[in-house]
Parts: sequence; C-alpha cells; structure tokens
Amino acid sequence: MARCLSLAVALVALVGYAAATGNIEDQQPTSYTQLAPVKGQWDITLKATKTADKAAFEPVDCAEPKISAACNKPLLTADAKDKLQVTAALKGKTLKTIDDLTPKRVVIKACYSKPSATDRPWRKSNDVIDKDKSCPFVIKSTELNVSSTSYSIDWPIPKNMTKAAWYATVLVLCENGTLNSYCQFDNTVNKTYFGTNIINSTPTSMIIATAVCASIGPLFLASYFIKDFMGRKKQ
Amino acid sequence: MGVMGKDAVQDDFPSFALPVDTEHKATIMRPWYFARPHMPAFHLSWLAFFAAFVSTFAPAALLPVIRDNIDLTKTDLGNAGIAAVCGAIAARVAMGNFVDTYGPRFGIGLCIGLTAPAVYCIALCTNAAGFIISRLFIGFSLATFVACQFWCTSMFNTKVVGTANALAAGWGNMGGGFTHFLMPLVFDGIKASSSPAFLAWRWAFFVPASFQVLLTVCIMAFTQDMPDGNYAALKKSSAMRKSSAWGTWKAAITNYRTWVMTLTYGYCFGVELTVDNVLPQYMYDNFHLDLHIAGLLAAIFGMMNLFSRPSGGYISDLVARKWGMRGRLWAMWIIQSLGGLFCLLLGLTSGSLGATMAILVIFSIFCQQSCGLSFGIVPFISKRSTGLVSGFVGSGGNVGGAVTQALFFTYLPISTAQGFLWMGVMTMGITLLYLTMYFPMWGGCFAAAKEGVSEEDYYLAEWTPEERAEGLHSASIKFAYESRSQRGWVKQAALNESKEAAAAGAINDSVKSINV
Repeated sequence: MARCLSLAVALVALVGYAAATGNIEDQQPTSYTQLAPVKGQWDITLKATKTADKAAFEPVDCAEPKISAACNKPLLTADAKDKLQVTAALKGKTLKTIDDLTPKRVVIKACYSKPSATDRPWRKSNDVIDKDKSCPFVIKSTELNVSSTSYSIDWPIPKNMTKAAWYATVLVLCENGTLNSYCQFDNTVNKTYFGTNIINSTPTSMIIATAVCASIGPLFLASYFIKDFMGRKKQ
Repeated sequence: MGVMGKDAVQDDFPSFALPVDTEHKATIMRPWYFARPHMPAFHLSWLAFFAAFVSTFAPAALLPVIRDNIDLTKTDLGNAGIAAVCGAIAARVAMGNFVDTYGPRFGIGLCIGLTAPAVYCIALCTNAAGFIISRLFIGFSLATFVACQFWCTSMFNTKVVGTANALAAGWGNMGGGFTHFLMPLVFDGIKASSSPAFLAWRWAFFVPASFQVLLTVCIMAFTQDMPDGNYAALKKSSAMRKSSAWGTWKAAITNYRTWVMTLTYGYCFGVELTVDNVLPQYMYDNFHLDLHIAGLLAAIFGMMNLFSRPSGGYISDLVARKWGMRGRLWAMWIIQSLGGLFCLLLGLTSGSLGATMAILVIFSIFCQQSCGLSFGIVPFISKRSTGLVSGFVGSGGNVGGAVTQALFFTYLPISTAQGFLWMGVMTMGITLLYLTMYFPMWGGCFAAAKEGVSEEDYYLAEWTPEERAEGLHSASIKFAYESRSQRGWVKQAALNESKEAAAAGAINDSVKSINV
C-alpha cells in the first residue's frame, strides 16, 4: 500500500514537471494568412557549395519541390561540410510590417517542401506560425539592423538533416507591447528549392561490430547443443 | 536440495527448499526468494520476457530520430509496428507446441538467443523495408511470453499460479515501458561522445541485444524445465511420457474456451502492445514535448506493469478462493470492460496533458490487470495442451495488437486520439465474450456447475481410452485433484455439508436397521 502511494505521488510529480517544461508561449500567435498583406519584400537567393567539387552552384531556377527533380541535384550532404549560402535582401529601403509594429529580429529557416512532408504528420505545416512543424531548422537568427538591408549566411548542412527537398523562409519578429510576435514573412516556395541527403550512418566499424556481436548468441547455443548431444551419446 | 543435474531426476521422496504439492510445484509465491529450482526459473523467465519487450519496443522509443534518418512515412511506421507484433503470432503458437515437446528452458533460450542478431542488425537498416523486416524478426522474441507462462505453470501450484503468471508477465511487460525510458538515455549518452544522432541510435541497439545474449547464457546454465528435472531426463526415465502430438493439438483447438480467450486477450494485451507502439510519438507530436519527456511519460504506461499486471493475477487468485472459477470470470469481464472505457476516455482528453496522464494511468492499471486476470484462467482450460493453449492465447494478443494498430493508427484516416476512442469501444464489445465461458465442473458467469461433473471428468476427457490404459494421463489426474480449489470455498463448503449430511443419513439408516 505504501509502495503504491509513493508511486502515485511520483507520477503526479512527473506530470507536474512535464506540464511545467512543456512549451510556454512567450509570443502572441500569428498566422501566415495574417501576414499575407506584407509578403513579398525580400529577395531570397540560395547558393550551395559541395566540398567534393569545391564549386558553388546556384539552384536558382528550381521551382520543382520534389527531391528527385534534376534541378535539385546535386544533393547537399548533411555532414556539416557542404554549405548553403542564403542571402535575404530587402527590395525596398524600409521594411513594412503588419500593424506597423517595430521589427526587432530576422529569422531565416529551412522548411520541408510539400512532397517531403506528405504522409508525415510530424512535418505538417500549419497556418499558425508557432504550430508550423514544417520548418525545423533555423539557418540564421539575428537582430534587425536598421542600416542594413541584406542578411547573408554560409550555413553548413547539419548532421541531423534528413533526406528532403527544402525551401527557405524569412520571418521577422516584432515587439508587440510586452510580447513578441511575427510581423512579416517571405519564402522561396515555387521559386527555389534545395535538396539534402543524410550522412553515411552505417560505417564499416559498425558493420563489423554488428557481425561479431550478432554471432555470439547463435554460436553459444550451437556449442551448447553439440556438447549436450555428445554427452548424451556417450551415455 | 531440489537442485538437479542436467540428466538427473528426482527420486520418489525429494526435498525442496519451498513447500510443494503432489506435483512438486511450489505452493507459495515469494518473489524475493531465490530457492532452486522454482525461483531461478521464475526470475530468469520474466527477465527474458522483459528483455524481449525492451528490444521489440526500443525502435518505438527512438522513432522521432529513426524516421528522419531513414525517411519513413506514417504508413511505413504503421507497417513496422504491425510487423513487430505480427512476427510473434505464428511464433507464439509454434512456441506453445515446442514447450509441450522440448520444455520451456530450450524454448526461452532459443527464442532470445536467436532473435538477438535481429536486434543487432536493426543498426544496419537504411530504408523502410529493412526497418520493417528487422522489427518483424525482433517481434519473434515476444514468443518468450508463452514459454514464460508455461514455465510458471509448471513450477507453481494452482492456488498461486495466477499470481506467479501475472508477476512474471507483468514484470516482463514492464520492458515495454522501461525501453522508452532507457533508450533515449542511451542514445543521449552516445551522442554526448560526439556521435551524430543518425549513428547514435544505431549503436544504442547494442545494449538490449547484448542483454539478450547474457540472459541466454544464464538460462541454459542455471535453470531446469520442471521441479523434477529437465524434459530430456524425465522422458528418458519415463517419469514423463510422450503423447500423441495430434492428441495435444486436438485438445487445444477443439476446446472453444481456447478461442474465446485468444480473441479477448487480443483486446487487453493487444491494446497494450498498440499503445506501447504509438504512445511516445503521440506525446511527442501532440503535446510538443522533447524526446526525453515524451519517452518518460510514455514509459509510465508500460512501467505500471510493475504492480498492475501482478495485481490482476492476485485479484484472480483472491476471488477464486471464495467464488472459484466463476469469480475469476466475473473479475475478468468487469476489469477488462473498465480498461476499454478508460481507453475511450483517453481519446477525449487530447487537449490536456494533465488529463491525458491521469486517464492513462487508470487505463494502464485496468488494461494490464486484465492481462494478469487472463492467465489466471488459461492454465485451467487444458492440462494436456497447456503450452499450446498458452501459445494460442498469447498469439491472440499479438493478433489483437496488429488489428488495432492497423485499424485505428495506420490505415483509417482518423487522428491518434480518435484511434484511442474507437479502440476502447471495440474492446468493450469483444470483452462481452467472457460471458460465454463455462466450465461444467465449476460453472460460468451466469450458469452454475453441472451436478455430478468433476474435475477428473473434464481433464481426463482429453485422453483416449487407449492413452489412459498406457497411463499417459497421470499428470492430468494430479492436476485435476489440485484444481479442486477452483470450486471456491462457498461451493466446497456446500459440498462438504451435503457429504456430511449424506454420511449422517447413512449412519442413521444403519442405526435404524440395527434397532429393527
């Protein structure tokens, strides 16, 4: 009885901890639809460098979101060596935001293209930006500089990036009273995509270790039964 | 004392460390004891089953990483989950036949020893097909359940067999929860040594695989099949006779109770398997938790097996003391129906993490208690084909898991929360089948026992007159005698009263005849 009670208390504590460490909203939710009137102010260009070729290539005219599309090749490898250069340049001199809020921060993200998110609810896009699961990677997050109209970064493709076709999204965060909220966005949907491939995740050392360890159990059983059989035969 | 060499058999008056009955089965169940031969068999059998569960559900614990590494879709994940439980369907039936013939020690040793390579090899899969095939072969290890239950039934008396079976199965099932706690930790530990995530999850599988190999060695070295020795030695000394395989099969498949339990177990254990498969992802995706927290919360469901499944077996034995088998059947129906109800409620709380966790805890208690209660009944369905009946019922659990996973979480276009809701509805419907179970010597839910039918009549009916003439039914005679405890003391007291009344009547008649 005492054990059951202590287990119940531990469970309640765990639930409380889980609730406390769940996502805490520190922003007012904004949707892409709400920001549509102020879309189209950024020129976003993508340039890639494959370390094998040591050459840059620009998948600029790639409106094809499938990873198999020729214009998405060659695929960038997720080995932290292949790089994607993203440049986001303002078309005009100033940035217009929704409700004329003051822009504070620019965030550039990599988002799954539609074919790469099909039948994968964990990559599902959502009109509410904070609930959108399709943009898991932050390429750059920087304070907005009023004197600068261009933001660029050479982003090494991280090792946990999966095989997919992507587009880039620029999101602008504004102060809204005591909270932050998104107040402008742009992306390269139907304009430019890039493709990535995973690292080699089965190196030779793993193959050898698997072969050796996997044979231990069957070999032990085989030797046990042979010894048992020989012992009974002698009797 | 009671510890036998490989080829030795107990003499006519053996001594055991624990109190035993006429079949040399232990009459007490104390998990903190380690007296040979009963307790090592108990502990290693539940540990083997625990290891099988850890390995089978280890991929589910790391799915958020695996699905991105090998580019899996929702359909692929669903198929892999189905493959994991389907692998064991035929394996459990085969295991039931195997243990009846070769004994549970070989059954468990071979099962976990030969599936360990599949657990190692999942580290090498690079696409959906490889992942699904790996989970299929790893799923074969769930056949250890049948050998585990058979071994406990062989080692423990009818009065405590429910508790023993439920403790072993419950602690074994805990592996399904423990893995959601363990694997993210192992994964993180490996990642911390500068290994990328897509390599770390692969190396993590070496842990459950190696545990399986270690247990294989321990089981072959430290245990024996029966209290009196191993199957090979017992058969050699004619202490155990080999009977017709077809007769064993016939006794299992022509008994309708086998099929009722097979179907209904699919909606307690099968539901548990499905929830083990889908819960971590549901927590991760629905409540936006990180991998650790999602795994920790999902682990609670499986870890409740620590006491909930054993409590089911204990409840079964407790109600049987007063009401016999009828008490077991009623308890079974009530608790499994409550499990279905709380599964339905789980589907209605997807908006709140706190409510979900509260309902999940209660759901897990009833779901797992009903699994424990099931194997308080299964040992009594047949004595001749105990292993085979356990195999069919056990595989029914996996069929139920495959069906519920396919219907509610893969192919129907409904959300996971709705899947829980409809799974609960289906559970409550199928559970009504318990009301049809009837034992002529003990009764059923609504009908009393038939007058004049004894346990011997029921269990000896499984043997032909020729087999009885050869003495092959001797174990069934002993079992029938020991299973009289399933009459419950209410009926037994009534029987004793009528016997005393009959005896008193006979004395009076003889006195009258003398006086005359």
